[in-house]
Amino acid sequence: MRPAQANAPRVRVMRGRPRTLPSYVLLGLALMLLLFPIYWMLLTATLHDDRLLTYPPVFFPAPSSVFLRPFVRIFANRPVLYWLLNSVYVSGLTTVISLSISALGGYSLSRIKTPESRVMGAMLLLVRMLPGTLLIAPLYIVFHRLHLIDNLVTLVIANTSYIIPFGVWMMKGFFDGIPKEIEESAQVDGCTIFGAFARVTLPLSRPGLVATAMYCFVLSWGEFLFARTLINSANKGTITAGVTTYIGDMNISWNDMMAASLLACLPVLLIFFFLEKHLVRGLVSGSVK
Amino acid sequence: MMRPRLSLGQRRRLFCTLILVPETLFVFLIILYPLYLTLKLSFFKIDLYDIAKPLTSSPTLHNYAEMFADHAFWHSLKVSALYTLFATPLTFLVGFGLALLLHQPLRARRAFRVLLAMPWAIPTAVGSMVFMVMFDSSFGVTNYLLTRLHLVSGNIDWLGSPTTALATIVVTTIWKNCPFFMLMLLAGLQAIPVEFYEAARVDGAGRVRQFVSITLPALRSIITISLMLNALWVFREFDTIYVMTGGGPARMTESLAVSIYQEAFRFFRVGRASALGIVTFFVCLGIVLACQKPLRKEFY
Repeated sequence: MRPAQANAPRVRVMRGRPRTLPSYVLLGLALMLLLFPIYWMLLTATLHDDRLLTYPPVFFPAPSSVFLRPFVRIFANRPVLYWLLNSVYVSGLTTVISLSISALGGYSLSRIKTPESRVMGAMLLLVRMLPGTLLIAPLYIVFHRLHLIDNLVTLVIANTSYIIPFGVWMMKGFFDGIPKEIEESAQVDGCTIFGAFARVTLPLSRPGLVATAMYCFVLSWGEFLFARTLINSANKGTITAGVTTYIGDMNISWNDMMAASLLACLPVLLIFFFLEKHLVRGLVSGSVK
Repeated sequence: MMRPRLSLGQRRRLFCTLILVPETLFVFLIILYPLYLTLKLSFFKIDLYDIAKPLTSSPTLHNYAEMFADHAFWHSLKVSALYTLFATPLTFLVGFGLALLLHQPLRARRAFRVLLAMPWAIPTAVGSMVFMVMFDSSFGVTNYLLTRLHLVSGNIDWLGSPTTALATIVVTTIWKNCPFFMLMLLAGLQAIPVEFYEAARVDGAGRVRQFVSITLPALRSIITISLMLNALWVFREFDTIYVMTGGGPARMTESLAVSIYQEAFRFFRVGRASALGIVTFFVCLGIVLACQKPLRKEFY
């Protein structure tokens, strides 16, 4: 972008103003539309019980009418605290395991080009295209045989299996950007091969590791099908699967439902805010380079 | 006995092969074995209760025969296809538009990008619940706004009527997936050398001409790959549909993915579910093969 401004200043001065104003208007409009559901979730979550079924809806409630009881109530009515802790546990562990395997696999795919590694890479791409719903029945059977149904470890394994194909290619993209010569010179200087990988290459690929970790975490946190199918007990669910239990419950009011939904989004949104920059680079290097 | 000492290159290669092992194990045990299991089970009539027992009957093509004769299967295939054909191109257009808007010298570009990409991070199931609330037939904000704008005359039962249920799901999908296209295409746009545009301007090419002759060809492989990835996701999308309608009303939104789930976990017919899964797999494979050329170019 910047060179365009530097090289063609006249064009920008002449046409810049009138052209960017509509852009801001359009972007503002897009922002309103895309963020409206999030705003609405917040509004509904803080709606007073008495005003749940009133029409027309209030778009800008007075600060005094903000009602916070749903946020307290949901912890008493449902095992929301368990769900949150389970989600942190499952997503955290999934991230650590997926990241380790992805970093190793991605490095390998980036550095050697043997027929086997190519087959492996192609296999991962293929796996990435498999429908999750296709795997769910056989995964259920496998875990049933292992007596692992209703066990959070199952979720970690299942999530890892579907995240790894993305993670490996993402990490490969980052490693491709680090010249081989750097680690080779470290090896000449007496570093072991693993030492060169651990002390030279890994630190250099920190942005990639951060991006991949975040990607793993967000994907794992939002995973619904496995969490819904492989876990039976109410206390063992994740927050994403847990909040959907509000659907169809006639006694549940919308403010409770949206309060729980908001709690389900908050951690990932926070992570996303701080690490978005890395993700953009990761998406690009992982899937499109 | 002394072991023959390997050269540095050989050791490097050995190391790289060794560290591929965990990933290979995972792929084989957790993905390829279940895939094999699906294929096997699709030839048997088996209940979810009986999965622990050994298979006694001989394999038949019964599940497939039944499936192809079943009107519900063709209906599900149609729903999945319709859903993909509407959601993917529309999401692409929205995402492309956003990417083009962001690819300008604007103030607070980064803030715009972060905020616009937020739906990406929200769990699909949770986002779908928010849309359920917004599209509620009696108290939903969508009906209120549309009535106030005089676009509709009465309240619409968005998720309860066969004609609008899939459309509502498509809208939710666009909201959730457009950041993906936006980020991918934005990155692609930023990789196009500015000199191309300068040369075109010197030659007197207008904005439209520049877009058609430079931007589109330069983005071709990113466009194909992102369309393909998105089409694959949408074709097998489960969360949105399951949460919003569960396949209803009257199975109008029962896509293949939902159908597989219902067969396996509601009717416990694992064999039939597996056969459906195999068909889904082949459709997905078809989509991938159709896009093979740009894929190869990008990944190898």
